[in-house]
This record gives sequence, structure tokens and C-alpha cells, in this order.
Amino acid sequence: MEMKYLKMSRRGFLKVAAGTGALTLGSGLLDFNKWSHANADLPLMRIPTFCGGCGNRCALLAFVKNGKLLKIEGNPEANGNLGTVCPRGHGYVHDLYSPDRLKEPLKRVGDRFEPISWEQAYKEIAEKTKAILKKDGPQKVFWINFPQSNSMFAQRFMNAIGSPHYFTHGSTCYTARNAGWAVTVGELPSNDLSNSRYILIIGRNPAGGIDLGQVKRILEAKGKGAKVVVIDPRHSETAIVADEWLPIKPGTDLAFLLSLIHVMVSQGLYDKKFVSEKTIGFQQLEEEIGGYTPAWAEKICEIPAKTIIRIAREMAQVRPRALLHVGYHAAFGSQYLNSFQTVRALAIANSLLGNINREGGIYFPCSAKLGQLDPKHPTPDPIKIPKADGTGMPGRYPLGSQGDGIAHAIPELALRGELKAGFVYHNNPLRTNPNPKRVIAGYKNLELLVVIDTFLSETASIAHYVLPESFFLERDEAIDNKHSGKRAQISIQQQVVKPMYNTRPGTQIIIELAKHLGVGKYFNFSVGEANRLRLEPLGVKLEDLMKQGVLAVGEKWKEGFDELKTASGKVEIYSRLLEGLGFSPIPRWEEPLVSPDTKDPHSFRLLHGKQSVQTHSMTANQPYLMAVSRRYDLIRIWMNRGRGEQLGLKDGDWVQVQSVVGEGKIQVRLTEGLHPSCVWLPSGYGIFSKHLKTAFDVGLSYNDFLPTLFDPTVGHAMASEVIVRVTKA
Amino acid sequence: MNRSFARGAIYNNLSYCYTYPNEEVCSWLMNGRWMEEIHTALIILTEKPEGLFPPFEGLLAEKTLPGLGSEYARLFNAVAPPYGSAYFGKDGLVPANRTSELCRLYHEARFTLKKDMKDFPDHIVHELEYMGILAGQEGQASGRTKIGLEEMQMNFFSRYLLPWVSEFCKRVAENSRSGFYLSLSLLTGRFINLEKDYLGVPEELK
Repeated sequence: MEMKYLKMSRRGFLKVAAGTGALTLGSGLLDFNKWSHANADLPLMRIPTFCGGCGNRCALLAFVKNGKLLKIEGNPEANGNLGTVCPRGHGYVHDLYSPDRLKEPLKRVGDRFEPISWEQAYKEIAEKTKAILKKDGPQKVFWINFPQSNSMFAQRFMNAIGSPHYFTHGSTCYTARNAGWAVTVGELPSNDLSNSRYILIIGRNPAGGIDLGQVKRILEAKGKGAKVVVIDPRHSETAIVADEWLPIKPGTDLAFLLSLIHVMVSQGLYDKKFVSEKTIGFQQLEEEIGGYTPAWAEKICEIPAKTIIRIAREMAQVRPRALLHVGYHAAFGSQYLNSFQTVRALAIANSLLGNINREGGIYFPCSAKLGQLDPKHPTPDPIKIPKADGTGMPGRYPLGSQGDGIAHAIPELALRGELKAGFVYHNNPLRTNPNPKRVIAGYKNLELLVVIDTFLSETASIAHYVLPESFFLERDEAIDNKHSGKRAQISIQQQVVKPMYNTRPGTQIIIELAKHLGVGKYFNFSVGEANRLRLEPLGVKLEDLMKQGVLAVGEKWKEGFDELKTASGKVEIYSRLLEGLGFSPIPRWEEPLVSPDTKDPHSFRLLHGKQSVQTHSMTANQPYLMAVSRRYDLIRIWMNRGRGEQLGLKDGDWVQVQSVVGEGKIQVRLTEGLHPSCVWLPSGYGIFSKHLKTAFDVGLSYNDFLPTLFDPTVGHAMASEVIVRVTKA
Repeated sequence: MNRSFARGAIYNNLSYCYTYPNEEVCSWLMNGRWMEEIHTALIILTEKPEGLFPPFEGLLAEKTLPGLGSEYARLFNAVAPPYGSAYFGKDGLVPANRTSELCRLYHEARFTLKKDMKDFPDHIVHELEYMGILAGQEGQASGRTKIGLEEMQMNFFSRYLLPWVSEFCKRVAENSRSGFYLSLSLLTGRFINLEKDYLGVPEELK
């Protein structure tokens, strides 16, 4: 053998100059070792809490030594994360010690901020809010927050001042999904993944989304022999573990589902007993569905007819232990003009499998019924004024969610003078709403903007007052019943370390604002007392919950159902409610609002989605997470390799992306893992607040390209109804 | 060629075989010289190399190459993680101290992972390549340096490679839909066993 073969160049390693590598590392380790030795004999405290790194609120065990956070682990008792912590959870905790954190209340003076005391800030905010309440009425004031365990206190605050304008980010995320399921089966169900034998996931990516409990349950099902099929224009993180990935043409999921239903019905694959006893409108469905053959669907959604037939048969063989995933954001949540009817079709396909509230199918999870603060603390009267965004109003957005509102309508309402004062809590609409130029104009038009946050986000940067919230590890908060499942669970967020700066917990800020605004009679309690009152009906002691972090309560889930929460008590395949509102009572094929120009090689539909290391704009400034994003080139825009090569692009080239509302430059990632008709942008980048030093000016946000749109049923943002032109930069 | 160079050659070639099969890697695999090289090296290491070298012929035809990437993703992302830490932590979690320990070890040998390397330091590609580097250095060294390099190999091999590679190879062999990765896992497992006998295991780990 010749020696030349043996001298392979080093691919993964670099030679380090003698001594320097060890020294550099040594000095880094020395600091940690010093700290570790100095604290070796001090006790290690284990404090349960839950994560603030995204909306999942995964239960954690935080380990603290000498007042410093040492590490976190997943709480093994928690339904939601089953003892695991995702990358962003691990990264986000480091923000506790970030130098970019807000350290004291701020007041805008001209074009800069000046420190202000809490008391003075409350006084000035209350004066300005009261003036607006008196002059223009309570409906001119709005509140928006990311849904979290203390949302009930924010809603109480808005009820107390008399305004209907409480919002979450829902209209840009999930409201179509919730409405579609509610109309069809009465409420939003869950997926019994671990007991299923066939899991069909359309446009949902729990491995990137990220839902650790679901990922573990999918893998558990696979371990027991279940088949997993992912239908998604992108080869997502979930597609990696699937048995089959079917790259559907974006916006055509409804065609696939209608055709799947067609096969189930025409070939008699459905659960006849369930359909006859537990549904209404099957006959109308049979009449409607005749034309939606697999051959018809293949031309639209590009999934082969024989594959559609095969999937229907495979699912029927194992029903009711087969499910079509309930979905979340893409395809169903808020993406397309047809999203609402797509969810309806999804729910109907599930019910044809007879899997509603069945083991291995779709089920209604047990959720803890927490107690009320009444009668000890009076509840404000419910608000009767309609929302200015048209939520729930016939002729406008009749199926919009009252609990979420239509948050991306706020800028238009502010520009029209229908909203004059806003409280933005743990939310960043300037970066997370479509069409930022319009959003900035709207929010800047407010007479009063108060932002409660931990960092000086884009929205905080234009506020009149910024109230710094304690980091989630520094505060006691409301108990939570989010992680429902086969048995209800309650969990608690509690203080792990003392606040480092002059910050306050969110609930305390709400209570103090209420007192300054003259509605303190509804807020004569502390978080601790409220928690005790809410636990009373469950027979659980607050101390026990604080010790365990998570407790199972109530009875276990039972299979089957007598009546659903729909008007008929049955699965409403045919909806009289929709008929009365002038919408199609049975799902019918509906084209997406816009489509790429097939004659223009530069024309693409713009899609977006989450990665497992970032939660929208919330975590982008976290240096460890951004380092992961950079290391793995996660910031680029994805494009189908064939389409990219047609445009003369190479992997890593810079491209110009342009839509009707925005443009920007970014590096391209050419891949076989994307449908040719679209490009895909990861969520979380494109930060333009200069105060967020790590994330500033890195990558692009899909919101920069989205026009402000409202779906006619729910009012959601239709955030994938946008065409962009992509050219070499 | 001495025994150290032969071992180094096998480690290096195996390492490259476990990298993602992009165009460059596929072309290298198709070239086939790596098979000759491993085979020749095995002749130096053992009197009966035939039983160690599984059949690779015909497994890397032009028509099978396009599917190799997706099989790589399926196999190594879900079924058989190619990271040592996936086999040690409970529930497959990565114990951070283990990977940082590994980085420290690389540094102590005056090596660091290149900045564009996007896998964890305990990826099989890196661990095999590192062993290849040490074996190659040992081949050129003498006296105390040579003994020192032998000890480093024994320690690294027995603490970081040996404890998980057999299980990894077993999972690949049981789940592979590609003849190439099946044969590669068999070859890897057999070579690791050969190395175990050659390098030995420190007393405290026995």
C-alpha cells in the first residue's frame, strides 16, 4: 500500500498551537472550578417551576446553589414535557443573567428613555389612562399579551376598567384551528399519540414547534409499531422520524383531505356505527364529496391518487386507533383563506374513523377546574360592548375568538382612532405581526403605549413607559392548568432566585396598575392568596404543589362520549351554524387566495415555521441559541434545489426577496426537502431593535413580507397567502 | 507500513464513511479505494482478515446513491444516533459534561474541532477520526512519546468509543434499509472488537 493513501487530510480537527488550546480552555474551566469549589459544601436546592421560553410552559426542576441557578431539568411528572427540556428552554434560562435585561422602569423623554420610579410611573400611566377613559370611553384602551398562566388577571383588569379589548397573538397563530374544531366537535381535542397505530400529521411539526411530550409519544408509538406519515411542503424535523414524507403543494391540504374523505366514504371504509349514532349530516357529505376523487386531488395537491387511496385504506385497517393530528399553526391555524374549512375536513376525516374520544384517536383531555376568587373578591361585570375588530360579529368575523380577538387589527384601529391607549405585556407585535411598517405607524399613533417586558424589544423601544418584569425564574405566578391529558394536571411557576434588578412580577404589576386606576376593589389579593382560592375545590394544598411543581388531580379520562358540546350534541359534519352565517355548511374545495405565477421562474409562495432552537423574536437575542442558529446555518431561506439551480443559484448565495409590502436580502439554502412552488423562512430572526445586540440585523422575518389580511370567517392573518419574487442579490 | 499506520488508515476511512453522503462523499465512496485500503490494512492487523470484511461490492451502484442521503437521515437522526452521549444519558439526553469533557480531551492533545464542523464532539465521525490521528502520530513517534500516544488511545478508546459503538452498530445493523450501512456497521463492530483486544482496557474500567 502506498503511503499517500494513508495521509488523509484532517477533516474535523485543527491542530492547536502548543499550549494555547489547553491554556485557553484551562482558564475558562478554572473560573467554573473556582466557583464550584467555593460552593462545594453549600446545599443544592431543587425548586420546581415551569419554563417561560415559549407557550408550552414545560414543567422544570431548577437547581440552585448559593442563590445562583446551576441547571434545569425537565420535571418527569409533567404531562407536557415528560421530563425533558428543549434547546430553547436550556438556552432561555441564561437570559436571567443577560446584560441586555431591563433593570428599572423607563419613561420616554423625547427620543430617549429616562429611569423613573415605579410609583411615579404608575401615577403618570394612571393619569393618562384615566383621561382617555373619561374623554373617549373604556373601549379605547386595549391590552395584549402572550397567553400565559396569569392571563386571567389581565382579562380581569380589562373587565374592571370596562374595555372589551383584550387580545392575544392568536389571530396570527391558531384561531382558525380552534374555531374549526369547535364548530365540528364542540371543543379543541388532543391527540392520543402513544396509543395510536397510524399517525397522519398534516402541516404540524411538533419536533420543531416544539412539543416535547408529543415527540416522545410519537416515538413511543413508533416503537410499538405505529406508522407515521407527514404531509408537509417542507421536510420538517418531524418528517425526519416519519415513515413517509409527502411534500404537498402549499395551500392544498383541503383538496387532499376532501379526497381522503371521498375514498373513505365511497369505499365504505368509515365507521358506520359511529357515523350513524354520533354524527349529523353524513348524507349531505356523501352528496358533496362525490367529485373529490383522488385523481382530482392529485392535480391540485400533487400527492399521487394511489397514495391517497392507500393512506385511507391503511388508516381504516387500524381505526379507531388511527388519527389525523389535530394541527396547530400551518395549514390549519392562520395560514390560508381555506384554513377554516381545512380544519373542518380534518375533524370530519377523524370522525369517519370513529376515533373521537377513543384510545389511540382524538380525545378530549381532562382539564383541572380551578376555583374562583368570588365570593371573597368580587368579579367585575362582563363587558357588553362589542370588539372594534369585528370578532364574533355577523357580517364581519363571526367565528373569531372572543378570548383572543384579532390582534393584527390593532394597528388599523389605532390609526382610525378607535384605540388610543395600549398595554403590551410579554408580546412584541412590532416584530410578530404582519406588515411592520403599518404596525409601527399604528402603535406610534397611540396616545399612550405601556410595555411590560424583560428586554427592550422593538415594541418596547417605541413605548411611552416600559415596566420591567422580573424574569420567569425570579417570580411567583398564577397556577396553571394548561397541561391537560389523560388525567388533569396543575402546575406552578415559582421564584427560583431572587430578582437581580428593580423589576416586579407580571401579576404584581397588573394588581398595582389596577389599584392606581381606581379599580383596586377587584384586586385586593396577592398571587399567593389567589392561588390558594383557586386550588380550594381541588382539595390541593398550595405548599404541596410548590413542593412537587406538578400534581395530577381529578378523575382519569374515560373513553367514549354521550354528548359533544356542539348544538346537536353530535359531530356536526353539516353545520347549521355555518349555513346561517352564510358559509359553506359542508367543507368544499376553495382555492388559496393567491398563487405563484407559474410563468415567472422567480415567483414563490412564502412559507414560514419554527425551529427547535428559537421562539419567534423572544429568544433570538439569546447568545447560546443564536450561536446554534449560526453554527447550523439555520438563518437562511430554504428553496427547492431544482428551482434554485434554474435561477443560477448556488447554496449559500445571497438573494433578494421582494413582496408587495417589503424586501430584504438573505442567504439561500438549496434543498431537496422543500416543495418547488415555495420558499421557507424560519421564524425568530430579522430583529430590528438595536437594544437586542445579539440578534440585531440577523436574517429576515416573514412578517416583513406579509400584507395585512383578514380571513372572512375567523379574521386570522392568512400568513401564507403571500407571493414573493426571489432574485440573485 | 507499520501496525499504527494501518489502524490509522482504518479509523480514517471508517470516519469518512459515516459522514453525510453528499456529492463529494458519494464520489469518494464510488471510487472504492477506501475498500482496498481497509482491506490491505486488515491484512497487517490480523491473519484472517476475510471474516472481518463484509461484502460491499454492488452496494454502491449509481442507482442506489441518490437514496443514500435520505437513508442516512432516517437512520442516524432517529433510529441509531451516531453520538456517544445518546447512549449514556437517561432518555437519550445529552449529558453536557460528557461533551465538554471530550472537547477538553481534544484540546489536551492540541486539537480542536474546526469551526465549520456542525456535529457534536462525540459524533462517531469525530471520535473515529481522532483515533485515526492519534494512531497516525504513534506510527511516526518513538520512545516516551510513542508510549504516551498509546496510552492516550487506550484511554480515549475505552472511555469514549468502546462503551457505545457496539450498541450503535447493532441498531444500524437491525434497522438499516441500505446494504451499505449494514455492511459498514458490521465492519465497524468487528474492527472495534479487534481494537479492544489490541489496545486493552484500563484496570479501573475492567
